[in-house]
Amino acid sequence: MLSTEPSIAADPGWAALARTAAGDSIAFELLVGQNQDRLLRLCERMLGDVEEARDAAQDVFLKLYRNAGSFRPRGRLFTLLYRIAVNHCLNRIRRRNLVRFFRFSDSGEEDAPAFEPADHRPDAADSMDARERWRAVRQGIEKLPPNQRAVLILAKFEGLSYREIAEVLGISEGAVESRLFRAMRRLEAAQEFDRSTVSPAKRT
Amino acid sequence: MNRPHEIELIRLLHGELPPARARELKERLAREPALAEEFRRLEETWGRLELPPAAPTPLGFARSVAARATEGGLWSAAPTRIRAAAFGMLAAGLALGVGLATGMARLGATSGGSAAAAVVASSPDTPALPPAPNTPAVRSAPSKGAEGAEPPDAATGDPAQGVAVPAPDRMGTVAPSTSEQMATLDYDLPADDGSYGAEGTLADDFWQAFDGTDAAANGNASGSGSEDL
Repeated sequence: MLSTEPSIAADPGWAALARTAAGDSIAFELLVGQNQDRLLRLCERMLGDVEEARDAAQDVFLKLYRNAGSFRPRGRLFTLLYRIAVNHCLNRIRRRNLVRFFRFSDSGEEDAPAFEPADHRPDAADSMDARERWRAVRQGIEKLPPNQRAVLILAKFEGLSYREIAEVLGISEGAVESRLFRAMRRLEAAQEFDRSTVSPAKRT
Repeated sequence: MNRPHEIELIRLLHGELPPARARELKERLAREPALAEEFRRLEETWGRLELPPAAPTPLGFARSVAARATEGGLWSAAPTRIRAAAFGMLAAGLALGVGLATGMARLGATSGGSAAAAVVASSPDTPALPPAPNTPAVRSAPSKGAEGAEPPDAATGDPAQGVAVPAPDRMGTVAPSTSEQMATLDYDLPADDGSYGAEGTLADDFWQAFDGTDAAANGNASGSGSEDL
């Protein structure tokens, strides 16, 4: 878990952001370099598509650049970045859902990006099985409402605590645990999730 | 399994329970098989949530983002809200301009149409246009026009021969009729009550052009149909 009580002075990100606001492009480039991995990973988890995640991450950094002077140093900078990124990804997901709604398509498969995880395991059977599981998990996550999806991804894949998630999403800890509870319920109930994610040992 | 229990189990799974409460719950798990089964199910669901490792960050990503941020100039550096507002104003202005241009173009075509028709009809080389249905000459005019027979005597304006149109002047043009002159004047002058919204005025033609119900353009001022033809 990431620490949640760092002092503002301890996070050099805020100083870099202040320099960015003053027009220091090198400081901005360093800021991007320090945070690009985690932001790209988060966007990829949220959107399920590598290319779209890169676009989204770039948009997030550009938003940070444009509004660099208006952010108040509070907590860690990565929390702010996560917040912008999650909101941006949720907006993209909503836009996707809106397009799907106006096309009168229920399946969602037409608009959802193809999820083709790359895997380079030497054993082809293992690789295929892993892909199958990942695809099933991805489908389960895609079916979650956007706010539950965000909580689940931040908790499971980003390893954030309830408190950090609450800070990122701007909600209470109670709301975090409630959304997580509902997300778990939905994942359990998803039939395809249960059917296709049975471990190889159980299947045999 | 009720909701508070399950939320506590999820908290335990995430390590979010205070140590004392976690200890109590673990003791209960040891005592109650149903609760233990529920916890095992949650653990299994949580453990299944696995995704492939994220794609590697593309080389030069930070540099390209920084370049894009700094090379875009004022427009790129402007906050999103300002850019959205500017774009909205631009789109609204464009739509308004297109609407006005279309309306004016249609209006111009409508007001110039009757005079042009009169010029064409007065020429001795061209057949007469179909007359208005409520005039006495209507019944005989179409058959002659269809056979390509003699043009009506436009100079005399004989109702038996065709449409009554004013005689051309020396230059070959026709002076507009009184009603056309009045219609032209109506575009420039307000109605009797001082408004521009009266029938036959500029505003009237504007809306007619918009909804496509310009009766004058069809040669049927009354709009009662063409059963007489």
